[in-house]
Amino acid sequence: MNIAVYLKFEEDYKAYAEVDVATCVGCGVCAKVCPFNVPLVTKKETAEISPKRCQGCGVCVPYCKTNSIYMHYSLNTEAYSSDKGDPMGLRYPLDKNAIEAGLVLRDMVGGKVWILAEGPPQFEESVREALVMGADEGILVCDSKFLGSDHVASSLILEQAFKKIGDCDLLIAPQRNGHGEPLSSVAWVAERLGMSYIPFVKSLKPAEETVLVQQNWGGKLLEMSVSLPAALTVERGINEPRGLSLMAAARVMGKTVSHWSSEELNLDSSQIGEAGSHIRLKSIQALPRSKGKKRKGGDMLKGSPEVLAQTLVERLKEWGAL
Amino acid sequence: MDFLYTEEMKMYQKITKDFCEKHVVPTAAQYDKSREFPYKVIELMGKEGFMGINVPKEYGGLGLDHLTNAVIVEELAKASATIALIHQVHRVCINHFVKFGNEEQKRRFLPGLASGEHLGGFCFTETQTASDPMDFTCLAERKDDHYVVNGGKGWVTNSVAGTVFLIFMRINKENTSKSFNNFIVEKAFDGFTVSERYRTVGFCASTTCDFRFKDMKVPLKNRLGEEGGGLSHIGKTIHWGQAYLGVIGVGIGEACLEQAVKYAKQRIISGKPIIKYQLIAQKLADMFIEIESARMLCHKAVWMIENEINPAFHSRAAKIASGDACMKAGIEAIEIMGSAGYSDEYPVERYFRDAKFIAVGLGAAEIQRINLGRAIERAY
Repeated sequence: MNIAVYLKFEEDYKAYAEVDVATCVGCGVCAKVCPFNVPLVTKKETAEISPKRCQGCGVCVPYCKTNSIYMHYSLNTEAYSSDKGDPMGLRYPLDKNAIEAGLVLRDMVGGKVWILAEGPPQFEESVREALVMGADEGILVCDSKFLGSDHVASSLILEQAFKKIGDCDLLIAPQRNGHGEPLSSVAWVAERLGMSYIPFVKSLKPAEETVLVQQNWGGKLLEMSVSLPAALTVERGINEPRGLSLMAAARVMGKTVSHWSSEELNLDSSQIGEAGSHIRLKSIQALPRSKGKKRKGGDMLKGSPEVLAQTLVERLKEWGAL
Repeated sequence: MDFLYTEEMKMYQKITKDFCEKHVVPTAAQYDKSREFPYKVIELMGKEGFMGINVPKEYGGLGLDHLTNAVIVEELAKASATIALIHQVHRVCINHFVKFGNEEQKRRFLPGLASGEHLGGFCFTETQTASDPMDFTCLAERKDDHYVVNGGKGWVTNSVAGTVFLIFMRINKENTSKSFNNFIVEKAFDGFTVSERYRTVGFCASTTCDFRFKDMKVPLKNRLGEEGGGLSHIGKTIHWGQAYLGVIGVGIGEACLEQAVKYAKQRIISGKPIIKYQLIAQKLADMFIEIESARMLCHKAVWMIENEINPAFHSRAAKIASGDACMKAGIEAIEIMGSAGYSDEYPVERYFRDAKFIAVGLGAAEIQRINLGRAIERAY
């Protein structure tokens, strides 16, 4: 069984939607579809989206009948623009569950595992880690033109790369990225290539020309036999990823990770990045380097230990913690 | 010229760090206190390939280059300098086999050393005569197809747990450059005895003892190199060892710096963390400068070894600089942490005790400075 495991670089971005009040008619569709209940229809009969509360998922954008919602993205562009240095955008540990799932299947039935990673040059380190875990080939899909791609444009990049690998039976990806968002580009690829797509996979094992999958569907476990080729997104905790060993690292030493750019994937710049995205960006800017929010000053309690304990208990009760 | 680690080096560093966090750090203080040799950790290191990082692939090792070796050793030393030293002495033994052993000797010993089945050791110093070979008395006299050894060696690391030792001995009583050889000695040989252990200040679990040899028979096939060729070989091995001992010092210094920074960020005095005070910032800056300078010297020495350029100046300089840097880092870390640093609640007191050995081991810093000065006088 030939398997491609898709890993996407976790872009360090902050996104939020903004309503153009000049064209908004206050229909309230955005408020109905928002998974986080952020938009509010004001007395002026326009929608209002709080940039602080907005999670930047972009779900509301295609539902707006008057095209009044714009997305603001603050992206860390430095990771793409420099060849060396720390990948500042890599804020989350590599999701190894998807890699492990691919390796286990291959170990059971044979074949090859390709790591298909999309991200800046520094992401090669993660591809190498996957090779040390036991993957057979590593590919880094890397081009500054990919920057700003939404789910649809990302899925086109993934589709071209998947097709370029060739004879692949299964596409496996993590269910969610580090931001907790679904990797919806996998679903798009499956749709385009006419493959089955199974999300929320809890377990999988090979069968004759199929894979047997357990899916976590809203807390219920559904068992199904999926014909190949297919795309699966696996949940965290599906398995215990294997550790890295020096011996394995020595075995893959000198192995090259292929770099595929937009030219090699036959993608022109109108199909990818901002130009190829359906979500319309209003702004895109470099994220300032900061180590998170500055802490607000606390209160320094004073007095004897008894008084301190008493005050602390009162405070905790006040905050509803006790 | 590139100061960045390669992708492979970063990977080995990460793997070593993960291994240390899981298996070395949790037991380091316990082994130090009990002075018990860390058999379990070393056995695991053998299984994971650490014991054979400098053994060529054809003999069952990983065959890693010297700079990658240095990166791995530094990570080990950050977690436990004792483990790094045990590993280092084992690798010195291996390196001598690789460089100067014949094919039969390599086939006989390297696979076992690479897997950790054998633990290697290296004996050079003699208790009464320090490190000047011309004063050495341990004698291996040739009798037909074997040598008969009488005498002793002092301050041997891995002495209790080690099974294969590389021993530098004179082969006659003359004081010429052709009077010495290195021999492979197995602990099982008759006439080999291990004295009581030293209670060292640092590196407490590495088991340091003296060896005594009485009419010990060493087969001819256990002699490394041509008869009388030992002195030129040992010089290279010592330079090699000094460069890597420097790397261990850098690891100790880095551990001190990390611990001091972590503490200084948490410790609040007069309403702010002590790291915000200028005096603490200055101490941290000095620690960083000295550790990083020592690291550069060590890496250059190791790079010279890799490229077969004589590292005589740089190995000595690396060991001296590293010994000073880690000792100072230990003192500064304790001063930053105050009583907490002086107690065994934190590992800094262990780092501090271990640090002193870097200046003392493999030729004390004082003699190394004199030798380096004389070499500079000749070269400039």
